[in-house]
Amino acid sequence: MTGVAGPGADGDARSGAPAPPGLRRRLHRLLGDPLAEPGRASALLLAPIALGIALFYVGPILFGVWASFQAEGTAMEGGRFAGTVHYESLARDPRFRNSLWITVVFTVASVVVTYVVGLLAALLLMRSFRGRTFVGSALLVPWSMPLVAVAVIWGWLLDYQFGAVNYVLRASGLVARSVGFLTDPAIALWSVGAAQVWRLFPLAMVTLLAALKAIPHELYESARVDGATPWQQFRHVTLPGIRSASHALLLLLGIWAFGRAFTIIFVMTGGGPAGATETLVVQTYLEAFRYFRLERGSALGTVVLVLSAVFTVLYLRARNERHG
Amino acid sequence: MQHRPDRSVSVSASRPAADPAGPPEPPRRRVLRGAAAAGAALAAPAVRAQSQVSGEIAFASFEWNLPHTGSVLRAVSKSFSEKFPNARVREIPIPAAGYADQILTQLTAGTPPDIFRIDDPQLAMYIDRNWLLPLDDALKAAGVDASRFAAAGRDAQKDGKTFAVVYQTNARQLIFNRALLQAAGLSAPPSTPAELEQAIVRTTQRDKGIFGYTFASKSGEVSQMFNSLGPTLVGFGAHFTTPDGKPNATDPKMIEALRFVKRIWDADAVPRGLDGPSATKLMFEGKVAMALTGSFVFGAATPEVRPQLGATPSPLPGALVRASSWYGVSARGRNPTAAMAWLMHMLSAEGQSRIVEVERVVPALPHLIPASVYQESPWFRPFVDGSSKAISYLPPGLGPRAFGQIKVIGEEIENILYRSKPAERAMADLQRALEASLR
Repeated sequence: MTGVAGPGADGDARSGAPAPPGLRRRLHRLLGDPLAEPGRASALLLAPIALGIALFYVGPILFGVWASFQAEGTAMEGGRFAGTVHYESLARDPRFRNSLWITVVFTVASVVVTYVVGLLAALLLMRSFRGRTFVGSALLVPWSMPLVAVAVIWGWLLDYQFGAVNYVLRASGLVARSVGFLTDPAIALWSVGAAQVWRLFPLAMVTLLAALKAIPHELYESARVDGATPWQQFRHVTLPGIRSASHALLLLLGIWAFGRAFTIIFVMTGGGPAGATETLVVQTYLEAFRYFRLERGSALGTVVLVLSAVFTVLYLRARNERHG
Repeated sequence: MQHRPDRSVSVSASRPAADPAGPPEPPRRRVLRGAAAAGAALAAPAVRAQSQVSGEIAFASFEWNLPHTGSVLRAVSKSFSEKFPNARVREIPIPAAGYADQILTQLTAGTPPDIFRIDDPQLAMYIDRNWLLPLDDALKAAGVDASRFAAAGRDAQKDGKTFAVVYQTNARQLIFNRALLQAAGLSAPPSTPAELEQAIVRTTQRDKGIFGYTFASKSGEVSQMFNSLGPTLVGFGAHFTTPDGKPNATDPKMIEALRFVKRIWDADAVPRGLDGPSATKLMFEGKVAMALTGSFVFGAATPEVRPQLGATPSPLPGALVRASSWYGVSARGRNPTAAMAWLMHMLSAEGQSRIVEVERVVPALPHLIPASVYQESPWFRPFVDGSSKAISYLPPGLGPRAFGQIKVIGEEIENILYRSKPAERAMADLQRALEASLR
């Protein structure tokens, strides 16, 4: 190890720089020689963020898991072990099963539609036409908007009484009576799904656009020479070319729709009407913070965590595959 | 001087122990110290009072965001600061949607504000969990006669102690918009349930955004739905529980009430999916013809709408219903002394006058309502008289369990409204759920 002999010593003599000041000396003493001991320096430099993650991310997760095994109303007062009572209660609860089903439907539908819309937009932007830059920029706007703002705007657009969409539908004579976009249990889930798709499709578009641009042009030329139709080119050149990007994208969208699609749903419908949009994350919030059953809410949160972890593992595998 | 209570003492003294055998002991030392200091501050000479009541008071309420109530709270806080120059109120304006959730979270986490607003569904639970300091010593020292509190004041009492003071209590009457009634060819407000239903349908003008009636129906906001729908349901003569807390959902009068609500809902005469403040705001803006609600509507209505408003006794045959709000001092707050002093200041003649003059609501001490209010607003007298005999809209006999049960009830009401579940079947299911839950 290179010691700190004093002012003017070490590399400073080579560089001709002035003697290291006190702070540099102390840092050097703390970190050692980064070249000789890269592991130590890395560990020390990463320590603050690791500590932050442990405190504000891992800690709450562990607390939530622990709380899910405590008796009702005791977690904040030290807890009293109750075993798997909350998980058993969830397994018997038709409301939980209904929420799980809603979550699956919401996840599958919103991921598929987001992917398809994003792919169509990306294919559009691959074409050469006047105003392409403007269209590309405009299509990115939803992704740049805050989630709450998106939810509030869509909520007002689809409002039963005063929403612009219902106004246009009534004024144009398409409907005689307002459509309950957010108040009809048969429609509400699709309405919040539409908002989710609108917010997320630019991400799909950008990801797929990058993948499309990476496909060698020669492959399309060869396909054309071989007499491939546009559909065959799409099927045998484009889709394989974006496959690994698609895997990663679909899993990422799946994670967001399954475990994190809270804001849009909660702001737009609060999980209603009559539980029609109550996904697992919304039910977790309601149980823990509205109905004040923290331990049961923690059990729900743990279930969401485990299910999301499956998606995450798949995503990481896909990402590793993508990056070789 | 910045007042900082001894936190090490106060936290350890106030944190309830985990005791499965019963509720934890209240933080006695802290209670006595805070109450005694607040009382002494109010009773003693000004110099002594100013030195004891000091520091910042963290004051949480969604009412800071409401024009009229916010102005009253600020005015009371301003005169409080003039009286106690070393004390300062820090406003914590929390949006109405999610207010109870946030307060509950803060209370659970042990980091609550010093003063906070409390509504009917949460009050008994907060008291039961020892989250509120008893105010009796401070009331006594301030010379407040607790026996003269409005009837809602009793809801904040347990074991002979008072844990919160009423800010306002509103007996529900039928408030109507004359212009909208006249536009529908109605010369007088309805006086029977059948007339009420007809009037609601007749006054609705969907194309103009005018509704015959209003109540909150946003999913998940069961407290707000209960607050606004309770007077209508209870108005038919039954409640979801009996006075001794037995399930009573299948009472024919309750089913009749729910059918009434469903009919006006299906007639598109009620705004859908709105939270409590939004549903009531339509009344302030002249977009609703009638509602069973409180006198606060007169205070909050726009200047154009206010002259059109009138009030009459409920056309429904059942009990008169009230909704109230309270303010309490947190057992784990940082500055209970100053917080109690603020509440006592609100109970002064000046504070009570300001509340009723600006908001036209019945305050904690109805006998302090100035005579000029009755002269200016003759319609106000029935609200004041009604507040002494009205019952809470909460299911009776449940105490701290009411908070949890209204969620179960709210789910079935949503099923009736949004999924057209027949009222009889919904109430039969509810009866079973309540019996299982309250067993």
